[in-house]
Amino acid sequence: MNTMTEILPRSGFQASSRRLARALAFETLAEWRNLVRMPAFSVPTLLFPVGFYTMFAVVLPFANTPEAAATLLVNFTIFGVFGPGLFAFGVGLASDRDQGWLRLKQACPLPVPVMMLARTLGAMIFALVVVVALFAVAATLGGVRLERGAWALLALVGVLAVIPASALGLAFGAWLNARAAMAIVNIAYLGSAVLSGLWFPLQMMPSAIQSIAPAMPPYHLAELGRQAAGIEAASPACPVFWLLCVTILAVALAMPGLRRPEGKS
Amino acid sequence: MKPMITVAAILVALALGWLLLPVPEVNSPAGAHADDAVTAPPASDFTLRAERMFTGSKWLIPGLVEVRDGQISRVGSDFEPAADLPLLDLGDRTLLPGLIDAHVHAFGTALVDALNFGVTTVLDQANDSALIETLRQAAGAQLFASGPPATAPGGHGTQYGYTPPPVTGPADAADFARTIEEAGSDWMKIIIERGMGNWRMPSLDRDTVAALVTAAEQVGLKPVAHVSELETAHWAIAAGAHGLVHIFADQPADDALLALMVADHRFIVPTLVVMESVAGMVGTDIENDDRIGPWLSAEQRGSLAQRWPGPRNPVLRQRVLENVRAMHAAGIPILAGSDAPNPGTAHGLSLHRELALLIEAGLSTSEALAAATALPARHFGLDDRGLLEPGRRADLLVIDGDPREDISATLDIHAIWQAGQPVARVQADTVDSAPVPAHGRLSDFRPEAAGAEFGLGWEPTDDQMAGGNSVVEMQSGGDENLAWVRLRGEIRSGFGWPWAGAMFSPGSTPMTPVDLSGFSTLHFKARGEPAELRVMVFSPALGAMPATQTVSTRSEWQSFELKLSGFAGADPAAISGLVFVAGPGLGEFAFDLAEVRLE
Repeated sequence: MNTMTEILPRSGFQASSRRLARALAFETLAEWRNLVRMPAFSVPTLLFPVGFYTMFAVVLPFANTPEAAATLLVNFTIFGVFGPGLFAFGVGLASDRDQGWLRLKQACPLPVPVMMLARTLGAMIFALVVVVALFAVAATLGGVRLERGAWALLALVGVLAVIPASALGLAFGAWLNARAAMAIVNIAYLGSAVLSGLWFPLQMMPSAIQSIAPAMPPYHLAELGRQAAGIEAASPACPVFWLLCVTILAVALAMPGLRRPEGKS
Repeated sequence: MKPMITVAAILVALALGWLLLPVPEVNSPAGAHADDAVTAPPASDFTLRAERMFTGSKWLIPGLVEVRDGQISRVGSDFEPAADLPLLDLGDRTLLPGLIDAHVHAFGTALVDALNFGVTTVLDQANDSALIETLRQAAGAQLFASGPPATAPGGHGTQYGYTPPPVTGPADAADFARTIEEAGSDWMKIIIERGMGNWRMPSLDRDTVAALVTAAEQVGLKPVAHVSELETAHWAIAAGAHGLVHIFADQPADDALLALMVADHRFIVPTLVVMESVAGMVGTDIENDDRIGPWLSAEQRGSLAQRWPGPRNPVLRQRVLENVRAMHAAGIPILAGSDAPNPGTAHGLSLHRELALLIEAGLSTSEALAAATALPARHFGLDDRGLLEPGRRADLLVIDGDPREDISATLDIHAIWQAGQPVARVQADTVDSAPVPAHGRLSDFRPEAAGAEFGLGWEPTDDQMAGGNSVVEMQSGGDENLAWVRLRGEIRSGFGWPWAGAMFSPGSTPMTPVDLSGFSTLHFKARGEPAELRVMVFSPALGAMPATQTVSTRSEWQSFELKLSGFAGADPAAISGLVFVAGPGLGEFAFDLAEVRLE
């Protein structure tokens, strides 16, 4: 990594796109390593979805029809890919700020948006690992059978789900300190998963929860996932629009928080 | 370049992994079908010629109809039949659109039974969403459905083993409408039933009915109403319900109601055949009519044989006929519906009786036939059927004779097509004549044995066939003294009366009744964690609902002895199934069964 200083442009504004792309690639790799080397992040983010999926779909006989088996895979895929983005930003950014890293990075010549993009891409790679692990369990033990295109589409939905998750994480990370972020992001992560019906079918939930569910981003991601898997036929326009709105809103909410003075609180 | 190689290697691994992912198996029947198509011409393309034809709106004499790809492509009296299509000359017969029954509740074999009597489409007016989903894929008449009805908590419609989404007041209307719309309902059934005489029950009130009608329109479902009184008919029509699905019997229809229904183009499905049965005057004679008897299923016989409580009531019968006569005279569209399988009615068959009753109430034969074809299609938005005209489904019914001379000619069924495909009528299942062994042993659970000493034998049974989620596994086991079968599974919510366990079929085919009147008691041994074990007997005399006796099991073997006469209503001379199940309490269960025999 000692070549970094050489390849980084003196000024982000004058950087050629080629240089920026290289910088992005290196920064992404760095972010990915950062995520993987942090066991507090990588172990639960990978093991929770795979473990819970194995429990619900393989150990317990919940998946008694092809549709039910595929639905379980979709639900835990969304659960699994929602974590990396949410935590990479929500907890990662908050601790970056607490430790002074954020200020250092902001002072670096690397443009802040590229830095953010790199972190998102790093989370996407991690999401892909989660997807691969889940698919492996689903295909071997879970009895899931999907059309070849559907497998690919579901993986794509899983990777792209990192975008709204990262935006929401950004909003948390921009405003919370590291300790609070760890707790609150966890609550938001598990809470939204349950409230979106990822763990238990919404039909089994009280009607109050059924009416809250559409306000949860994972609910719409799961809908996209079911469409991708070919279990549900509908237009993806509505969930996509909803998720775009959430993303934009979350980024807008995060902006003032990112600009506030940093340091240990 | 090393990072690029790493990335490329990862991408290749991902692609290979993707290619290894399992895909659904292709159904072999689809493949077989494709092969057939090469050798045989599609059965759905042909021209029919009949002495007379009713299109749903008018008579054509003679009548010609051309069918291509399951659809009607030409209709007329004198067109030149296409040279490339087979021409079937039906001679002195009558060609009709496939019949539509505008009021049924589909359970069990309903759809097959209906189709067997020329009813190619049924409109289910209140049923469980899960069961409807299952039945939509099932063979037989095509089903359209309201799904669960809007009714008061504990009101009429809540006694059938599933719980409709709750409607406690006007505030629940929008939620109810959205729920059933999302569950796939084709229209909304609103039940306003306060009971009669001493028989009172909770009912939706007027404001709630109005809110439901509005909510139904907002989600694009047509609201229709179950009423049994003139006053509640007024509520429904004033609120804007598109139709009534029963004729009321408490009072004569008044001019205000008739005027409002005419002005708003409202319809009625009077269901005279069930009203006639409520009046204790069932008019369907099955014993002396060989156009009926041989074609009846056990379930049809069962529901026909049942009776409503109460004495003969000719006044009631006369009043419903007069009310239909008044509505018809006012110009209100009358639709034919049977309300099968209520007591005294049967799927399919009872629609033919309804035609006769509509004619008795003043409709012409053509109007009665339109009531069972074009009108239900029009008023329930089924634009693809109900009329013989180009572009509609080739749902066709061919009968011997001329219904204008005698409406019961519709029972002389010569042929049925559904979407251009010929329908083979099913002969009724009669009592199996195979002798029942005198020893009466029903079980032989040694691992190497087939499990039964006669009949079709033992098989696991659960409520998934009714749309439920319960599961069961059957395993044989035993030691030197006793061979048993172990039933293990879980009763899960999903169907109103969940069950799972084992079934013994005494006949050589499923649900074929067998004469067991030579025996008086059922003996068996059972063990299981302290639990209720339900023993049920299916008999055509009971319709789809079995008679039940319950025993309590312990973890040690116990012998049980049940009198066959204790299965109330079952006819020992015609028993179609013996069932040992857990449920309806939810949860896991396991019980063992051995030495099942009759004495």
